[in-house]
Amino acid sequence: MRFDALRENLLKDGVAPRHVRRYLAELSEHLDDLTAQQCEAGYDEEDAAIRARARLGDDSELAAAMLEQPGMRSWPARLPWLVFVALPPAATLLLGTLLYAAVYFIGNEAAKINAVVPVPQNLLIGFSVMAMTAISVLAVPVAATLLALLADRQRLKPLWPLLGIALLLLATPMFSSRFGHHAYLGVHYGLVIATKWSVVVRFWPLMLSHALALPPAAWLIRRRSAA
Amino acid sequence: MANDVSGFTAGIPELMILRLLKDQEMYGYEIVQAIAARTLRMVTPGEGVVYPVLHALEKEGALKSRRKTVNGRSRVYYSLTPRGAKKLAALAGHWTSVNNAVQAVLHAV
Repeated sequence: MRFDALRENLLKDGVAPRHVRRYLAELSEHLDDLTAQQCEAGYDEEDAAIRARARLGDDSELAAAMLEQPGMRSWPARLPWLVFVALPPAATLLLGTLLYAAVYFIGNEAAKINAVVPVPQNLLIGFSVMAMTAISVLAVPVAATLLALLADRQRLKPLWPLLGIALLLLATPMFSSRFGHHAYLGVHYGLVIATKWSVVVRFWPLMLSHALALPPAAWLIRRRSAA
Repeated sequence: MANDVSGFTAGIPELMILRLLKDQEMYGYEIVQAIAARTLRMVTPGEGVVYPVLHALEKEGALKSRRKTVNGRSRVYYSLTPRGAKKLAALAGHWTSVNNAVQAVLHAV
């Protein structure tokens, strides 16, 4: 594919993927125009393509032109500690809590209903419990997957994203709640070390969550090692 | 005024691009051809290097772009914004000052 090496170099040097995509698209269109111009000047297709590529500029010249412009580097490349380490635990806690609270509200309101309603009460409560469990289990794996994809998209070394995933594992939010008269909704942070089977059973959403967060980390290591 | 040599030539690509786009909207290939024609091919960098300059100017609000299809070819056309017009005036003023200073040195007896 055209400009593959240039794309990789720009991404490795921290240029934001959206700028790289647009740059290469316009270079490609420009190359088509140059090639057509050379063909019109009487060169055969092969010569026209070579001359057009030379006029466009070599990869190092094209890369240098992009790198010397301010504001083209991505946030993950400029501030990896912020994007991969500082923000994810806070964002996971905030979004997880908001989602958890929203589905908790549905179940808790359903639990208060005494009258006959169009949607069966048990269905609402069941949905709420399932959704809350899913949020507890999936919040960290989803965040870990996003970090791995973000790092791979920017061709970053895996150090910062792996640190971020490790921090997410240490600071996984644990939600707890109860419907009805003694309703409550809580969120806790903490490290759970499973030394007994009873701990695993009690904290199974957390254990499952941690287990599901490891494959994205392994995938990222494999991808970056292969590159 | 900057006392380093690069200070003399800084902003020339931006100046030429802004000046060309003052008259009409153009796409990258057209801009490069217009620069080559008007400078009698004295300025012939790798043609692709015009795009980062265009993108940076757009990012700072001096240009705006839109994708337009003409004769079956889709291209990104750039045009000047009011902020770009101000930047053009500032760069042109700076370049005129530098040019006058160099001329004064060249023609000093």
